[in-house]
Amino acid sequence: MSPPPDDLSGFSMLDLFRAEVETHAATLEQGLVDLDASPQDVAAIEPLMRAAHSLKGAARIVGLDGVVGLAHAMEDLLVLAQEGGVTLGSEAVDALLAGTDVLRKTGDLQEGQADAFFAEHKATTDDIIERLGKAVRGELEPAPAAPPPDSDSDSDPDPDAGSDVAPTPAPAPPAAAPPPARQAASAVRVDSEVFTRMLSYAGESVVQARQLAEHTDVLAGLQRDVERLGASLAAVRERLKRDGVELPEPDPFEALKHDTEATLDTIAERVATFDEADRHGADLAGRMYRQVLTSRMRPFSEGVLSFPRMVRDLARELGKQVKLVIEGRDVPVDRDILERLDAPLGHMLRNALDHGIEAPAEREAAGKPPMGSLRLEARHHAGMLEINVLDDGRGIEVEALRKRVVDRGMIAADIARDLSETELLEFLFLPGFSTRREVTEISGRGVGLDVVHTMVRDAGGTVRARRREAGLRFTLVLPITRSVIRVAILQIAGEPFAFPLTQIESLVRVEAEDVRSIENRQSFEHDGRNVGLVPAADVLGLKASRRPTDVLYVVIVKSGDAEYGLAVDRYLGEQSLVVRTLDRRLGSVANVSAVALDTDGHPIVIVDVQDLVHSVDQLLHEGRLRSIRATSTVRADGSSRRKRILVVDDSITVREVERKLLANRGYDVDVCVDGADAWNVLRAQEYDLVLSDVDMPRMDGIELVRRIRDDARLRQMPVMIVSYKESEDDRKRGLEAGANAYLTKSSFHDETLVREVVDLIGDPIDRGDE
Amino acid sequence: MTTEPRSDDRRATDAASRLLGRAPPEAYLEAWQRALKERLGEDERAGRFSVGLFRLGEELFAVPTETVVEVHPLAPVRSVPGRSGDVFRGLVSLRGEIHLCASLHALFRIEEALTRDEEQRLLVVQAGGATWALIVDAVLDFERFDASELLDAQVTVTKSAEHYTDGVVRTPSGSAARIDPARLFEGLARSVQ
Repeated sequence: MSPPPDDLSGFSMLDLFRAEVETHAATLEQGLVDLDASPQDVAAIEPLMRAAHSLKGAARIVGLDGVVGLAHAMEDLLVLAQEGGVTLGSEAVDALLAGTDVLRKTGDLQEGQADAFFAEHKATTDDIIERLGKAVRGELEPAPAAPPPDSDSDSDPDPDAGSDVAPTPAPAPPAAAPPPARQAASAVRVDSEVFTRMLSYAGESVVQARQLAEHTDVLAGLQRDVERLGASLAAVRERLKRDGVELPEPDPFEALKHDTEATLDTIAERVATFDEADRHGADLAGRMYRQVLTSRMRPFSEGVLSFPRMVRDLARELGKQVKLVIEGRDVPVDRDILERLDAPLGHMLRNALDHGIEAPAEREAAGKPPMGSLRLEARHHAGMLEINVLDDGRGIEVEALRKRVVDRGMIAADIARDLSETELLEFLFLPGFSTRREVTEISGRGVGLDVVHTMVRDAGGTVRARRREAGLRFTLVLPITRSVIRVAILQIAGEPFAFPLTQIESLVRVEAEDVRSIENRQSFEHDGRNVGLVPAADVLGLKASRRPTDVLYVVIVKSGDAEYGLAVDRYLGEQSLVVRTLDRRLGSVANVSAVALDTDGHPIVIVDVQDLVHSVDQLLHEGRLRSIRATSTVRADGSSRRKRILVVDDSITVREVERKLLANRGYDVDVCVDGADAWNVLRAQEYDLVLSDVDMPRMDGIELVRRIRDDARLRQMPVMIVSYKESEDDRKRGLEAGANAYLTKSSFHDETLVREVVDLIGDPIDRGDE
Repeated sequence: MTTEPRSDDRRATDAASRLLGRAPPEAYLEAWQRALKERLGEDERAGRFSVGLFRLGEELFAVPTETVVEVHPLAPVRSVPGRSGDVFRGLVSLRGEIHLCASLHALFRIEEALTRDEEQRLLVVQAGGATWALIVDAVLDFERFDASELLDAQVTVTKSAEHYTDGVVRTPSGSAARIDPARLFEGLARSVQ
């Protein structure tokens, strides 16, 4: 065996071979199953023959001699069958399918594994080649119903047949793939990272294109400005003329008017050009984006490739006759969803075949055709992917099911009596519920419809069962893609967050006065229920918003029995977002499911609502949530919190200097512009210290200190006055009002201010505070 | 008469574009490639190094040029609940790619500007497959130094930043602390754990 040739531009020859095997094995399998159903369809053999031929050539290139031999034997039989030399019966199809299986497995081989593989599978391979040979010689089974049309069966149709070892002319190049019976668009493989980047750029170009439109507005504004300028000039000229001012010749205003008009023309021209370019750009960007998104979509047929074969083999095994019809092959489905469908659909088909479809004799006795029918239908319906699995088997007897539900002790007899058929059928999806007692080899491998239910639900879908006149219909409804979701954008602590619409109950506006407070827990009435109210910022561990409001925006979320109202800053609208995974370095982040770019092109975190509800539960349990208006900086993880200082001064310079000094020391600093402003903030939020000036508009510092000392809640809070007034009288006045310290603004120049603050309230962070 | 200079111009333009547009002689590119490669190798052997200079507050820092991917204008940073803090700030989108964004100010304990400054930039650095967008107060220049020009980190470096630096270089704008990328990336990685 020759070693595989060197790596070619990132893809080894073996990689290419692997891709070939995947394509051709699929063609072979699907074609063979079809052929088994209609052996007379000689035209259908052609693509199979070519597939075998291409595989043989590709295997020769990578030096997989074992594959060459097998593919060659298969090709021989297919060529003969195509020429009518032999009709392929079920036994021959079995042999060809078995050969296809071996070929498919060679696609998974890593470099250097080939020898071991063929040593291991030598017996199987030899047996298959033997059976194929028999089929060629017509020794495999009794002559099929239709005799071969002509007897010219001993001609050798293959030019390079005879010996695999003999040097052959250039082998079939891998590119010469057979045109499959149903011409599918050719596919390219793209690295998922490359795909993500392409999606990023495409999304960003849409954002950029949108921003271009703003420049059109700017140009249009310019146009209006110049128009106004022209009008002003005309007005000035009129005014001068009216006032009898002699204008020099030639009239300078004429020249100005001319210039203005020329400028307007130029701008108008540019606006038109720009508009055109903008429209074109936006259109292109939009198309590219949608195209990149849809490139994740694959036809439904790709997800069901293995089913015809599975159904055929299983039917033969069970001694049943069945025809599987697949409809909606071209329906586009997200690759991710398609992968998740494989297991549940496979299970439902096996189930239908095993439990639903009867043996031919039984069917005839029941007045049905001996050949059972299985249908798999896919379609888009109301923005969702709907898949129906139908059989015309014995179905389910409602009364037997009712009895069984009661016998199992799943429900009381009197309740069971009132259950509708639909409700009863729901029981099929409960864990451990099987309508057939004996566990069969086929569908009893510990997998029940409950697993189907779980798998479908995990993919974001639902599954229902319904009775048909004969047999059952299972309906799966799934999102067409998981990569685009519809979200509500909510502002929390000043930043936007995305909540998937499917995960939130509703958004409501609550008047502050409708919020009730019981034992420091707040709630409001919604649909006649009392819903607990919690600040979303606290649950997410974000720095809380600053000001109390008269109206609260509340998103109602639910998980299991728990229902909460999360207070957010604002509702910003709805968007469709393209979901991306969070950077792996961040690990699994509580309350966050994914990330996306919003329509402005900025990152936005997608909230995991189930997780969020869980977090609320936990916080409430630990009593760590504060009331809505006294929002605080308590971190959700409870690790520590910074001390908060409110700086009050009407001078922006002083305010910023103080803030800077304290923030650098590690304190959390908020600012207010005067006493009134500060008083409002203080009533709503908690601080560890207030630092105030004396002379300020609306409410001065002395008044602010008095009010703080008069307030039951704030009375204990330290207050420090920082003023330009250095006289002893001023100092006394401040301290008498209740300030804990009186500093002058010269204290900025050294450490005095910061030292005084530390003296009063300690270091910025106390471990285990709270 | 007036057309004369114009046609002269055109001739000159044509000649210039022919001159500049002509295919390079055989071996010309090769010779240059060889020369540059040799010089690179020489640099490496001689311990010469190239750094990107940036400013945090009043202090200058230098990162190895090969770790710098690009420099961007500031973009809105969006918090990640439970992860964003003083060092790791959140996520930022650069050309549609989402990057982790951090502030070196907090890591080095350097005073951060209160207001957004015109000169502030996102310095995108990459090492060992990890990419970070770093908020810096200004990106200055890229410069090359001889091994002998790398001085011991001294008191010029903030105490907290010292841990992340492996030396000091003198630049026209002042002394710059050279950052050891390995330690920097370690520190950044810690900020998201």
